[in-house]
Amino acid sequence: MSVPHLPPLAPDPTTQALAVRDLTKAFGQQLAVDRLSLDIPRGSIYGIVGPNGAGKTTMISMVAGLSRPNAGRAWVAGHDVWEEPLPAKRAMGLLVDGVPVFDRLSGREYLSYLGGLRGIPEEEVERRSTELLDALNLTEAGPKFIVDYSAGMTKKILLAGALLHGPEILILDEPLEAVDPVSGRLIQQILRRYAAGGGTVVLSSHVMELVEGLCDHVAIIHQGRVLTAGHVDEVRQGASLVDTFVGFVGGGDLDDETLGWLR
Amino acid sequence: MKDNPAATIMTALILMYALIGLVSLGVSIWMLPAGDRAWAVAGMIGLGTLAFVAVAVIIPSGESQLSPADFATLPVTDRDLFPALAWSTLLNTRGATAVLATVLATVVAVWLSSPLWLLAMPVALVVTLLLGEVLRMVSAGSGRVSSERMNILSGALVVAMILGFNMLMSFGLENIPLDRIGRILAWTPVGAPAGVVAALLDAAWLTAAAQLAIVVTTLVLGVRWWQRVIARRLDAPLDGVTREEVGERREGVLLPGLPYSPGTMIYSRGVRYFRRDPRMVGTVVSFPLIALVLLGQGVFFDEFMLYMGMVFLALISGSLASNDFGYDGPATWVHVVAGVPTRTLLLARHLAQLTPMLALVLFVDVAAVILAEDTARALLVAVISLGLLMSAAGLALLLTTYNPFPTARPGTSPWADKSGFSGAAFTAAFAALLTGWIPAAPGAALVAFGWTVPGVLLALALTALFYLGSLRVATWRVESHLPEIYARVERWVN
Repeated sequence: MSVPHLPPLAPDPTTQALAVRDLTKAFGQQLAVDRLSLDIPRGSIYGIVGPNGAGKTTMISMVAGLSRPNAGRAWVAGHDVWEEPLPAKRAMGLLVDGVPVFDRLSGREYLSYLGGLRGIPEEEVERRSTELLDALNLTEAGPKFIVDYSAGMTKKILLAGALLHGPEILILDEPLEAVDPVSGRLIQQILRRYAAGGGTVVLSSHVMELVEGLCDHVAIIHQGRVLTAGHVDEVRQGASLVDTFVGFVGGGDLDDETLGWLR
Repeated sequence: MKDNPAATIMTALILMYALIGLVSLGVSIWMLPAGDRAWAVAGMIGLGTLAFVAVAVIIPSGESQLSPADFATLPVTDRDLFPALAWSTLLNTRGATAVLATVLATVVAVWLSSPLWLLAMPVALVVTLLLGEVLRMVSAGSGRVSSERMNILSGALVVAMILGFNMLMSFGLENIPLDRIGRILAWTPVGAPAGVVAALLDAAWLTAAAQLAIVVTTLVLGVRWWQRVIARRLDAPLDGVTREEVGERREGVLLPGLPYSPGTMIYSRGVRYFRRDPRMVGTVVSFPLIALVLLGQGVFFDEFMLYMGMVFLALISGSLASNDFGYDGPATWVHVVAGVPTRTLLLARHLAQLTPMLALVLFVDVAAVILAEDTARALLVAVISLGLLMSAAGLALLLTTYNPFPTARPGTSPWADKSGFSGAAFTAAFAALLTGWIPAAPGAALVAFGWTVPGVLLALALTALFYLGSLRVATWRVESHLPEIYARVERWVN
């Protein structure tokens, strides 16, 4: 039987890398996020897991300023996302799974564009872009448009875009989906180095092994609420994270008679 | 079709133009002496075949649901598929239109010329369907770049066809050189079936025999080629997808000469997308064609068309800038998350979308003033057109922020695009034409009453005020409602 672990919320949410209080979002009658509250400490690598439709992406959208909550508040690096959007966005690097970017740009052009939007000096953008493209093995892509990238290459250029301005906190939605194992390991190294340097990583993923191997904190979200959260060991309580997840969310085994004609 | 109103309406438009063309050309033939009608009938049939083949290139994807590659994993051969694919050419609106047009053309040809046309028409129909299928497969590129190029070409081709049709009609029905067209087309596959009968009616036996040879050769080669394509696409179809190398491109984003800033980056990207985004390219190519036709008609037919051209283009100048967030679509998140000041984002994006039409309006104004006989009047209209442009631009700002709607993803064929027929899209398309002249109306009225200078100044002042007011309102709108605007455009239509 899984026992929820819900640490007390910080009295001052601005001390956290990311904090949400009573965040709520409804789409018609459907409550996607239901008075969700969570603290993500600075310097942590925090995994957000949950089944499809749990509200992870909706929560991230509200934190990123892409979707307005019906109720509740969110802070990024101590700035209220809706009261002080500009400093909050400066502090944040975002990778959104499955949402297109301006894909009629090459990878380097995309980074150059982002650098220009954020007011980073041109020479600095050039230097950082070169390093990022090299680190992520995207230099060979050359002048190819992002629309012609593979799924893995697209994920990597999005990560490069999230890192370019040296944010305080990285919010990554499925950062390793469709990425090959070699690139996946490289990305994990980058994220660990980033966190070791003082940055905070928040990543949403279905891959429990990734979360278990990379993250030091985890929250399980289901039906728009946090079921359990905290240090990975406190959450899984001696079991594997997969078993803990299934224990909280529920799941069924396949009946012996079903699909009997498959051979 | 019921899920794709754009295709339905385009089909209806094609049918309408086909019927108008048939009636017009039929009247032209009727006006000729009976003995001279044979080659004119051949011209009518040849032009009909040509139009069908052009449409087959323009609307390939929405109509042709069956592709040999879809059957590659099934135990079928090209011999199994060919009869079905051949019959399937009739099972779409293009084929049905061709059959209907053939029946009607047969009635016209037999009535106006000779019963001998009953022999030619079925053959002409088969050749038409075959040529359409051959060209459709040739034009359907297998890579993204070639596919998008065809989409751009098809967009421009439609505009050229419509303009060509209108210009042909402007000759006057009695002056269309249909028999000459028929004699020329009869030596090509599109007109050879009709040419055989026309030559027989003319007792030109050698000519008939030669053109019959063209028909037979076309049928034999066309069918063989089609069978070969089916066989090739059944066998490892994925290997046929060409990897198109884009080659060396060192463009960067920022346009030359502009200072480095968030606003100029947004502007530069928007302008560069006019070349890189096929949704934009087709439209940008179409507007200059329309401008050239209006200028041409103004020079060769009626100078009033010059004035109308300036006014019309100024009023529609905001059309490309009426849905800036829609064109960016889901990628708008990049701007939201980057924390670009909303006024910078709005203005830079707006100016980028306005740039091509601004350049075109200025070009047309200068050309009209140079070409017009009444230079003073042309200059007056040109100045007022600049006011109309400001008015249209102001309206575009309001539409962009209050009426954003999702569009098709970049690269979508215009004929598979479902985004154009929402209520929001119709509003964006017609709002400027219906209301864009209003801020300029008081000044124009003064001009009409003879107070030229005060009228022009008033027109310019009111339209400028309208633009500045719209900018203020639109800025407030984006500052307070950017997430809601994003929610309206965060998914591509198809």
